[in-house]
Amino acid sequence: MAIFAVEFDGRGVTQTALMRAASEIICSAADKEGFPSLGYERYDDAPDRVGVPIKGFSIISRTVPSSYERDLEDVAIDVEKLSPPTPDYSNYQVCYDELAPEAMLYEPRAVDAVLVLDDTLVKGEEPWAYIGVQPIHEKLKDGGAIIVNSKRDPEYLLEFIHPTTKRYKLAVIDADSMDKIIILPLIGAMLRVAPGIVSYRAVIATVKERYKAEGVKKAQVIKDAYNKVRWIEVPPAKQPIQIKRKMRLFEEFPKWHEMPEGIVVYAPPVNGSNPHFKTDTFRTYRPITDPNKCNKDGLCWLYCPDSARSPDPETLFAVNLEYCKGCGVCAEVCPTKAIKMVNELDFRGEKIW
Amino acid sequence: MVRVITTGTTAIATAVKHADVDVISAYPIRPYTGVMNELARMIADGELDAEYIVADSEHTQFEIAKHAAACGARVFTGSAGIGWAFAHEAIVVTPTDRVPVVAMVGNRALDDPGNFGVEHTDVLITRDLGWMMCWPENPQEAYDLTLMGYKIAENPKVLLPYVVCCDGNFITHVRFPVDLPDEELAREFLPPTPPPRSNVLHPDRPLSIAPHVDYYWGAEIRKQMDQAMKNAIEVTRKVHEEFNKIFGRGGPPFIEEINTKDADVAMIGVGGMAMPARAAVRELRQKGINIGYVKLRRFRPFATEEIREALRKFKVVAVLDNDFSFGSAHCGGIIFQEIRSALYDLSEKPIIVNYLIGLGGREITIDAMKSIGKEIYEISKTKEVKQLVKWVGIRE
Amino acid sequence: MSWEKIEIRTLKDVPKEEYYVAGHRTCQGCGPALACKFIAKAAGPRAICITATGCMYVANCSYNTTPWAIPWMHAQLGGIGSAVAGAAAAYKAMMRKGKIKKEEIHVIGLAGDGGAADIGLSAISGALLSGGDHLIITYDNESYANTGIQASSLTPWGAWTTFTPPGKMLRLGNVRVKKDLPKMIAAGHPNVRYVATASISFPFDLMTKIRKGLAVKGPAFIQIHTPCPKGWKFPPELTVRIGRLAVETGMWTLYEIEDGQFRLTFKPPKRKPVAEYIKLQGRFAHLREPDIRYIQEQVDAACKQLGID
Repeated sequence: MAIFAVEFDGRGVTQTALMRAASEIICSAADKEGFPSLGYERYDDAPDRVGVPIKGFSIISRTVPSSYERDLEDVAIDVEKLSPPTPDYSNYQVCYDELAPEAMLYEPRAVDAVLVLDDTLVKGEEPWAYIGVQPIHEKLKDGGAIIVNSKRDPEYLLEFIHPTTKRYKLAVIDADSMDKIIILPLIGAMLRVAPGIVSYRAVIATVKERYKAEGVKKAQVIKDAYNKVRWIEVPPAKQPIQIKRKMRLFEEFPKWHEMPEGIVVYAPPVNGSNPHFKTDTFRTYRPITDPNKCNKDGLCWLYCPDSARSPDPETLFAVNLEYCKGCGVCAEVCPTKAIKMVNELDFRGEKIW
Repeated sequence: MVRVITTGTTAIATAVKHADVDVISAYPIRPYTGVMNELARMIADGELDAEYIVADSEHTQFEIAKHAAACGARVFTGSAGIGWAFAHEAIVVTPTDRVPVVAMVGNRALDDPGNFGVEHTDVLITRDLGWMMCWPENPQEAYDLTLMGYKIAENPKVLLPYVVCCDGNFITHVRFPVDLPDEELAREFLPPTPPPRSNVLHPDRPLSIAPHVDYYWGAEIRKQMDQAMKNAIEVTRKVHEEFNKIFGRGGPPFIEEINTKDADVAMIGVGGMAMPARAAVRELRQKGINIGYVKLRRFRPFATEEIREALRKFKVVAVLDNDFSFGSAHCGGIIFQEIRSALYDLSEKPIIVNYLIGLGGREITIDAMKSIGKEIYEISKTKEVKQLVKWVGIRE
Repeated sequence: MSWEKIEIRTLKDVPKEEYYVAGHRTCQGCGPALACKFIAKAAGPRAICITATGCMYVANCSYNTTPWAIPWMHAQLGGIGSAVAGAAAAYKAMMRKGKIKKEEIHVIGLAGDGGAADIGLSAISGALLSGGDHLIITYDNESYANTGIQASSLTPWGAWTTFTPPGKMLRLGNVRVKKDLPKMIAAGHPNVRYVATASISFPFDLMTKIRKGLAVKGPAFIQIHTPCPKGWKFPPELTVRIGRLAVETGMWTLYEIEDGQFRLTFKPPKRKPVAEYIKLQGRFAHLREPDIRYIQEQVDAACKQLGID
């Protein structure tokens, strides 16, 4: 008996539907094998906001892990010819009872694989106020896998990920170049680097059914990703690990008699910032101002919805990188096109932690 | 001090004036409207200096009161029956924002059918939400409990809203001799400015009140409310003591025992029904039935200890509910449920039976009270309860 | 008055200070967040802001943190009118009676289009009639965005929302016309001395109007058009451009009604076709050419009536 869980990490609004689809596909595949599952988007992320890091999950209860060897045999078969698995419901009730500890929770207790839809999320996520930054592998079991949609190498991405005492696989697949439904390559890659969660055969059957006329084409995407994925084994980091922006544990929150009465929060200073909610992990692209093009008109400062720019022209209206969400409004309104939006992972050597 | 012949609504209006209230929000609904009519007159005549807002609904009334109180003002508002229900969203958030709003309810049967008569169910739908609730027996107590209300609600250990529940007609509309203290004496008890508290909205001290919370915080905020309600018991005792000292009246904080010495059985209820109860108890005693009446003055906070001490000595207790709770345990009234639960873990406890009385505003007669008294006396002898919950005077 | 002057004409006139600071969970490119920033800048430090339930409540303030450097409080969804009426009355009474220091405190109420034009309309009407000194502002993002984009009475004709999805049977999405809230306010409350419309893409005009609304004795009302990348389905960097296009096409108009006198505060020199505005937004993606022509006709007629053309 085993509980398997998959986590999907993406960005609010733009990737919400994709994450829901990913969760549905994995749960449907489990059902095709005869195993019960739970699928949900993290409740606290709702209402989702554009760019906010959000998570979704699939949790599966099965008697034995699906077979890696069997998957390898099935991958050799043409996807069009590959028949669906025969579901075996004989252990359904036993598995349902095993799933019980995962019910009534907002997140699974641990996950076997983390599928990252936007590679900039590997830096960690601060989805709500006060909790601080969640590392990308926060829920990952020792020996689990992180599969990232990225054009970059796993070694490159590793520089941005919080060090951890866990051992894990870090895999990349350039999903954007493979299909507009970017979760399909990610799932295909997951089948290879984190086998056992669901069978390849069940996923292929699910995808063929789900995408109807395009089913075979989409199933082929799964197969291609299975074959293409690249990964590295990440060894555990040596103790102690220095992390400057830690996740705040529930136990460290103030006690009820330490909180001011009347649901009161003391205001931040004028021109200050909200110290307990940094919004930089919303950001995929960072605004960079070309000093030669900047005419210092200040529109970028004026129109910043996050009050993340300095009013000082001498600093080219410096961006407060702990708060800039990377919306791109400043670049849009700039009449001299002095601002470029640059991918966050181009800034090597900068660690959020 | 002056003695006047006046109604419960006017007595409460006088208490509001003596409290030097700053903001009043009004919307009409019988039978509480009289208090707002009187306050409007006082302002028009220059007897009271307050902002009087003619609201567009009860929801608005209570939202105005909440925000005015959040800005540090002393406020007054009120409603009745279905109006109280209409305001309920604002009523829900007033205690959680920890603002000391004081309100009056003229108890009235909820619609439908439209009915001006008394039922306490209107205000009792709020019983779990953090409002302090009290029931005066007469206009004198209406004045007293209102003035005390500000002092209790504004205590920094409490900071919860407070509602004075008055039986429609019998207290709101019936004139009664009332001792009204001089304004100076009232102000000695209750200074015009509330004690300072931290959750006041003012540019001098910027803070955010009532932001959205996630599941990390909700339970702790509920726990703070729980503690405030517990604190309110001790604060209420102290305020009664002080009130008694200054005015020479005011009575006990939570329960008043009427003729309970050596009683075998007792009735318990809230509000104006204490009057016919006094008469019924006296007459039954003359016939050799050892009965008393326990007047429950405050239902929130519920003074569990006092109530257990008061009731444990009887063989049978009849809870008189002028309210209903359809489909509840034994299909009994709301106060019955609570009193039974409070006495549950006593090793020696009375038999507790329930009478639904006065529903729809029907008169609560001495005869009805006497037959209840006789029935429970009979139960005390036979130990046999034929019917746990009884509807009094129902045509059947 | 809290400011040296009311008029904000250039960037130099815009206060440097931020009273709505960084660190809130609004969308990338959030139009209403930009409105909050401008409102707070224009009003300054002697203001309090009460916000009805909606995005600017849930997304802005998460407990034990806040982006508001000025006093802020939550009001119930339908309670913004009541809340500001209560706050303004409290300060007025306490100052008159000497309970607090006499000074000017600006009371601002902020509600979304649903909170203002639907559930809170009665309370706003009541507050405006009661004559308290407060400013009620609607940030109009044309839907209940916080609950996941449902139609409000300010959702435009033809827009997709989750309550008005275009489908095989019902092709058009929302078929209710947008309620004309500022005109309704102005027509129904002759005592209100200042009613205006504004846009986040015209910040000088917006901030001037905020100050005018606060400076006038008694209640005032301003409706701000605030593009919403989530609900209108456009990339977040386009927020300001879309707000500007709304005005340049005549889909949104900028005016003020001061003591009953109507005045356009911006007149597009040559109106652009509405298609330029509509085609940037996914919420109108299902509309066909005749539908867009229909919208164009409606807008043309409205602009003629307002004296824009």
